[in-house]
Formats: sequence, structure tokens, C-alpha cells
Amino acid sequence: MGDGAHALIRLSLRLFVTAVAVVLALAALPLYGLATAGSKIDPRLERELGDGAYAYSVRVDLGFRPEYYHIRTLQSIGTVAGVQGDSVRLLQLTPDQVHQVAQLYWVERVEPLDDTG
Amino acid sequence: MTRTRLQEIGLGAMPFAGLLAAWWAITNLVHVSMATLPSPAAVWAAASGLWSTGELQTDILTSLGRIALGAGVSIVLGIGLGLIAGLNRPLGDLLLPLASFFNSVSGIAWIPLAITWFGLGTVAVTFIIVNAVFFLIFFNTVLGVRSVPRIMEQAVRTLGGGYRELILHVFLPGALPHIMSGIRSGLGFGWRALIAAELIAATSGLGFLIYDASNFLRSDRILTGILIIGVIWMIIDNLALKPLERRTVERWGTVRTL
Amino acid sequence: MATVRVEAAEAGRELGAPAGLDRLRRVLARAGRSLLPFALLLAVWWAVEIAFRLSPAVLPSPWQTISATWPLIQRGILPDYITSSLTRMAVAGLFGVVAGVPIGLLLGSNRYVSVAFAPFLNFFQALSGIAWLPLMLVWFGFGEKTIQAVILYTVFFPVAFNTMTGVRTVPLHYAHALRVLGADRLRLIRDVWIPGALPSILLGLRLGIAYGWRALIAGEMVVGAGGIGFLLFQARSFHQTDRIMDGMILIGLLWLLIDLGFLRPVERATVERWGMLQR
Repeated sequence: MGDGAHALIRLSLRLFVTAVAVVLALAALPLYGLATAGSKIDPRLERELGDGAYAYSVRVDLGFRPEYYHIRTLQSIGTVAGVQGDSVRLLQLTPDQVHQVAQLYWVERVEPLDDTG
Repeated sequence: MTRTRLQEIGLGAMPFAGLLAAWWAITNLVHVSMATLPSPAAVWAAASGLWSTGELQTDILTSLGRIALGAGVSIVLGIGLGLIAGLNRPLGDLLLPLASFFNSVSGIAWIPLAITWFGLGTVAVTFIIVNAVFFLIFFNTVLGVRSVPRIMEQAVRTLGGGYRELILHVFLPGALPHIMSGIRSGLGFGWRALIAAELIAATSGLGFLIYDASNFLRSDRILTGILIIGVIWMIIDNLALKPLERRTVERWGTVRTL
Repeated sequence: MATVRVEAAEAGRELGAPAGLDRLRRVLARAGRSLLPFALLLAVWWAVEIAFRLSPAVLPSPWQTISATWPLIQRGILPDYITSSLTRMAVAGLFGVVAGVPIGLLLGSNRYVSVAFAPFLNFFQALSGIAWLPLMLVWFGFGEKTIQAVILYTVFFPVAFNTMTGVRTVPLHYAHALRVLGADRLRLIRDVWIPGALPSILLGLRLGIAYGWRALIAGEMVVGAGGIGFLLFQARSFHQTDRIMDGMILIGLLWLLIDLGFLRPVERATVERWGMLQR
């Protein structure tokens, strides 16, 4: 049993290292998004979030014209109300969901949506 | 037919019979919707219906035509380029890495590009099939050519043979077991690529039949198509490819195949 | 005899160029040789695009194709889709292997059972998972489960079938010998059947993962729930041919990752431990 164990352990280690490398490479950008989430939320919105209200409406600035992927991802978090230029109007968000949106690393800013907007 | 062969066939039929029995039991004893699991009788009815309108025959022939075309092109290209790459070292060193990479871009990934270039239809499907089949034949031909013992080549050369004699009488026969093996495994990938391509890039054929049926929740037609797809490949593989491969190895091969 | 050879080798090395530089030169030459075909391909690609004045929607230039990558990463699409594809492949593939090997071993342990199940498993191996996609769509809809079900099926049958036939090839006297020495069934599995069947098991693993990977791509194209296959499919709808070709190159690279990063090490470790692998 002895000598077989060495080869098996070495193999498992090798596979594990490869897998970890792949996971880290893929997780790098999303983790970056998580880290920078706080800075993306507009201070006005940040203050409002403590209100205790349920449904917040935000404008999500992307810095590029939203594609199908972005609409679909945002739709899975809130309700997409429309697209204007580089921004998406997103309704019916809880404070947690607002933070979820900010954590997406491709989101530039999350602004409050004025009722006139 | 020997008694053991009969035994084999009998035993081999048992799991299928068991599956059929379980299928019948589930659909007749438990209430299952037609969309989820149609009964064997319903599938048979769907099959007969498709046969009587001629739809089934057309689809089968279309698919067979495409795989035949794809196989033909792949075999010619694969053996041709394989001979060149196998005999000419520098050219081989150039072509093999490229072929390896293109092989990694599995045939199915070519579907969107094929649609862009050729639109929906037979050209796109055949193109995709060739991309799935060609590489295995190519690699196996190279392997086969390179595994021919040098002494055979030298013998023919000392007897005054030129390139044509060498290829026809030394390298092709010598590489044949590998080539046959490559054709068999290549066509395995090709048949799969055919179905996938017809699912997405065609408006006829067996793949299209089952995809179209799913849009209407016609599971009875889906199962008809699935069974025929399986049976056709079984026939092609067991009645044509496997015996061909075995006979080639018997006749020309002591070399172990890929 | 051995000492003479070693001395000669050392003498030769002293007479030649410094070992370090020589090795570097050799590594560079090999790298150059491996890259040359691809450089040539890029040159031909670029030449064709210029010579025929093809529009970027038909054949984008190499530069256009490669430069499509950065926006895809920057906009969050690529990491998400690659993660989806690899996760599906890993999870469903793992289940397929974990189910296939024990079942294959079980079925292979009895002569009559294995004869009975050989055509059955062979049939369902030949009937690729892609053909089951429409039925899975009816059952599970356009979602994650559909794709994973197809991959699981596609991986399971080659693994089970090849494991089973692998066990059958183990000569009976090995099992008998160990049984005479008092080994129980578990010991037999571990020391006779698994090592003996290993070449076949690995062949089944390779086939299963190769087929499964293709089923993944096809499934993603049809189901539309993200993933690199979906990226290609969508790009076609918007005539973004540069993205299509970029995605195809990525698929090739991802397969190389799976092959060189996971399949080959497993196969090589087997040769190390149990000797020559006959392919």
C-alpha cells in the first residue's frame, strides 16, 4: 500500500493546486468588485438606505452601453425599468440588493433615482 | 450461430427488455403526462405517423447524407494530409501543433461561425462534421505512417520503388489499422456533431426533428427521433465500422492501435 | 561498464559549451518551433483577410479578434461565463465519474452480468447526451439542471462501459491467486481489479470528459443560461464575429486546461504507479 500512496498524494496535490489556481484566477475580479462596492454607492443613497423603507429605485451607471448579459444579471436582482445611454434604471430593491448591485465589479456607480428621472 | 453467441445475444437483450418493461409499467400504472413520458404505444404511433407522411424517411436520409459527405471529405483530407505530415518531418512539425489546437476547439464550437459563413443547412452541418471527424483521422494516419518499420521502406527503395510504390504498397497498408481506428473514433465524434449541428444549424434532419418536436412538447416524436438516432449509429458502428476495423487489423496489423 | 559510460558523458560535457547557456538555447529553440506554426497561421489569416477584403462580420482580423477579449473581461461577461461552464463541467462530470466507476466495477465483477449489460451500455454511450437535450428541455426547461443532466449522462456511460470491460480483461488467475491467499472482495477490488482495469477506466474517463465537454458547449448554445457556448451563440445573433472567434479560441484553451491540467496528470500518475499504459 505504501508506495502507491505517494503517487496518489502527489497526484491529488497537483490536481488541487491546478484547481485552486483556476478558481483564484476566476474569482479575482468578482472579489475586487466586493472590495470596492462601498465606494460606488452615492452618499445620498447611502444615507437613505438606513430609512427602513423596502423598495429603492436606483440608476446603475456602467460606463458602457449595457448588453443582454447586464440586463439579465440586473433583472435577477431587481426590476429593470429601462436603459438610458450607459445607465440602467432598477426598481424594487432592498438595501441588501442595492449592495449586491454595487458589488458587481463592472458597475461604476449606483445613484438614487429621482422620481423625475 | 454458436450456442455461446446465442447466449450472448439473449443476455444482451435482457437489460433492454427490462427497460422496455419498466417504461411500459410507469406509463400504464402511474399517471404521467404525455409531455413528460409518453407510453411505448404513443411513441410507436408517432413513429408510424412520421413514417406514413414520409417525414421520417426524409429526415433519416438527410442526416445520413450529411454524415456520409462529411465522412468522405474528412477521410480524403485526413489520409491525404496525414500521409504528407507523416512522411515529411518538417511539414509534420508544422501541421501537428496546429491540428492539436484546432482539435481542442471541438467541432461543436464551430457551429455559430459555420452559420455566419454558410447560413443554416447542409453546408454548415457538413462543415461542422468535417471539423469533428477530420482530426482523428489525420492524427491516426500520421501515427500509422510513422510506425511503419523503416526496413519496409528501405526494402522497397532498394528494389527500385519510387514514391508511388512506397505509398501504395508500404505506407498505406502499414498505416491502415491506425487509419481505420481513426475513422471509427472520428465518426463517433462526427455522429454527435451531426446531431448537435442539426439541432442548432439546420431545418431538416433527425437533429432538427427532435428539436422542433421539443418546441411543441411532442415528447412522443422526440423519443422516436432519439431511438432512431441511437439505432442508426448502432447499425453503422456494429455492422460496418467495427468489422472493418477488426478485419483491417487482422489483415495488416500487428501494431497496436490508438 | 556503467562507470565507463558515466565518465565518457562527463568528459563530453566538459568539452562542450557551458551547460546553462546550452540548455537555454535549446529551450528557446523548442519554444520557437512550437510557436512557429501558430505565427504562420496568424500570418495566413491576416493575409486572407486583407487579400479578399472581407468584412469584419465575416472574417475579423487577428487583432480584432484578440482585442475583443478585454471588453468581455472588463464588462464582467467572460469571468462569469467561464465560471459557469467550468462549474457545470466539474460538478456534472464528477458525478458522472463517481457514479460510473463503481457501477462499472460492479457490473464487471460477474461474467454473465457484464455480457448482458455490454450492448446496453454501449448503446447509451453511442446515443450522445446531446440527442437527449430536447427531452431534457421538456422536462427541466431552459435552465441549469438541463445542462447538467445532459453532461452527467454523457460522462456516465463511457466511464461505466469502459470500467466494466476493463474489469473483464483482468486475467482470472490474479483474482484466484489472491483469493487463495485469503483476500476478501474489497481487497480484490483494490489490488486486482482497479489496477488491472485502470487503462480502460482512464480511457473511459478521457472519452467521457471529451464527450461531456462537447455536450456542455452544445447544451449552453441551446439552453441559453450563460456559459461560453452561449457567448458564441449570442455573438452570432448580433453578428459579432470577432467575439465568436475569440470565444472559439477560448474554448480551445479551456479544453487544453482540462486536458493538460487534469486528464494527463492522472494518466501519467497511473503509468508511474502501475507501469506501462497501453493505449
